[in-house]
Amino acid sequence: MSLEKKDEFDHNAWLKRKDLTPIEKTFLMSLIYLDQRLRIVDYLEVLETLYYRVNLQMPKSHTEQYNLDNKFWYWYPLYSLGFFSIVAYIIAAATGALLGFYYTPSTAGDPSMAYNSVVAITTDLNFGFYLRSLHRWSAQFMTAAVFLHMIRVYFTGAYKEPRELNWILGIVLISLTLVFGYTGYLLPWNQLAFWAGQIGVEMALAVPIIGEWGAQLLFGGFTLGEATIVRMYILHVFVLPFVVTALIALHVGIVWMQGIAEPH
Amino acid sequence: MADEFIKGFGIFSTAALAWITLAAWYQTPSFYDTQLIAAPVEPETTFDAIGIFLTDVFLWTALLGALAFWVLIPIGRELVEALENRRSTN
Amino acid sequence: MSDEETKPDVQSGGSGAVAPDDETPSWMERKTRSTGLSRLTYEYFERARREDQDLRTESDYVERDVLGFPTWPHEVIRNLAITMFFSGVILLIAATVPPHLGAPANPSKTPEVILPDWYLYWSFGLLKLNPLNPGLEILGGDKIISDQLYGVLANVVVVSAVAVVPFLNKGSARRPVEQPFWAAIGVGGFVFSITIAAIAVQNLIPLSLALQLNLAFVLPIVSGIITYAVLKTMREGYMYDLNRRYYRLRPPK
Repeated sequence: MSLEKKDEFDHNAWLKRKDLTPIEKTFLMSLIYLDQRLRIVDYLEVLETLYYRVNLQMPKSHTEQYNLDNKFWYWYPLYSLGFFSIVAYIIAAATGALLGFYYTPSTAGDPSMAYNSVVAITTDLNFGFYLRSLHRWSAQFMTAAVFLHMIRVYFTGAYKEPRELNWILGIVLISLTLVFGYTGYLLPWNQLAFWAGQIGVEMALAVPIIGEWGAQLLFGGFTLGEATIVRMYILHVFVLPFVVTALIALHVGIVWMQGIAEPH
Repeated sequence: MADEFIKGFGIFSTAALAWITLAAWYQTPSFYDTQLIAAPVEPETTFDAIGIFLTDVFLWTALLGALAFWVLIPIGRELVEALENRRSTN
Repeated sequence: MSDEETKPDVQSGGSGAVAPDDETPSWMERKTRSTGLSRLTYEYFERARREDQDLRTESDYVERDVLGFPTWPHEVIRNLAITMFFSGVILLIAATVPPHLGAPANPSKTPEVILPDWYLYWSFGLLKLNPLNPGLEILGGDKIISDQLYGVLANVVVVSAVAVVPFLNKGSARRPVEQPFWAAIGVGGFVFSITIAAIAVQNLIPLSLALQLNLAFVLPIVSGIITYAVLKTMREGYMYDLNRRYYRLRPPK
């Protein structure tokens, strides 16, 4: 008597019976492998049910909706800016992580180690110049896209109730994007960075009551130095990425729940 | 009319990309100087000469392309339509 | 009421999976069983459901019963095309136009040009409004707040002005022609962000400071007025041309 089980759940025998292409076979085998270990069928079923519940009906396209004879939606490009700024953010995050391997946040030495490390990235590192260029340009594109996104939302009235909360969240996000840009601007520790930092300290000091405390917290003192660059670095690569990513998720989540506002 | 929008948009963004690249190469002496619209450098090679020539070509393509598809052609259509309306009412 | 109506739809619809909740109490039952805050919650749920249902029955807008486009998959898939194009633009332009890295930081040498990146010009321009900081006669021409604080306050004012917009402008109008006033405000604000940014780079522009300050505030107002006039003029013809269903759906208040 054989110990091999010969029941109707013998998937290998079932696979053999069927006449499958290599692609189908690989797919099914990996699906079975994963399912036997992780029970993914249950989760897939839940996802499928959710999908059908959410998409009970497909809406008409905008041109059908309004009986436009146009084949193309005039204002369409402006509606994709939010998505585009997320993509630019992802590019900046990926290149930024790579740049972070080689960057040193320190003002020691003359010129500073930070400046020297940026020089080393652009001149010694393979593809380093392209990496820095990509990081900077994607940041520029992201900021521009975020500004234009705000203008689009304003002129199409997409901020109106029930979407006020997301408008406020958007203002927080655009401000954080600017802080992202500002902290990143200081990191190379060149002349532009230093004097932009100087303006930042003066601005912080001008605020009554909490000004000095704020300057201590953000810039590590009233004159720029080692503490400043380390704080800017931590803000740029640790604090802001977490906060901004979480807020973007929330922002998109609310858009997802509420739907894209009645298009133009 | 909306088809004209995407034509103009495509021409504008593509030509503007080419223009900003070439202008950054040939018409930007330094970061602290005039950027993108300074007088072009003296060409040293044939490629430089072609690039300097193309800078202006792309700039005008971007501007005139957008102007044509976004302004002139729609205005022309409106005019033709208005004229036909007037003719049919008379 | 809504419970009875949604039941067959949700449970049998789509996946064909039948939820084993014949025993699950309906909202009505749950409502009667509960007290206090949870009872209020159920009551509100019921009202909200009934409101939705009534709006749907009233609407002659049969194709779609929400006033929003699904983000997934419709919007995202449409966005992909144009987003991929501009991601390509990022890659190309990063390859051809490398960033600038100037001289290293030198605290003892103030450079001629002190500027943040372009996207902060508007904020930097607001910091440079000190010529407008009023001197008070009572204090013998002294300024009541320092120039720096004045600049910081200007930033706060601008940002909060943007933040209160949805609380001032309500109603169902969406397109600029439907709300010429708010469109004019928007255009004025946009022009102001440019003119104020020009003040940030004032030393690079061959105009006197006084003239520029005047322009910074006059140009936005002028462009706002022009926008208002143009939109008001366009409005009638535009409303006539607009798809009629659009207005049946959302009559402008």
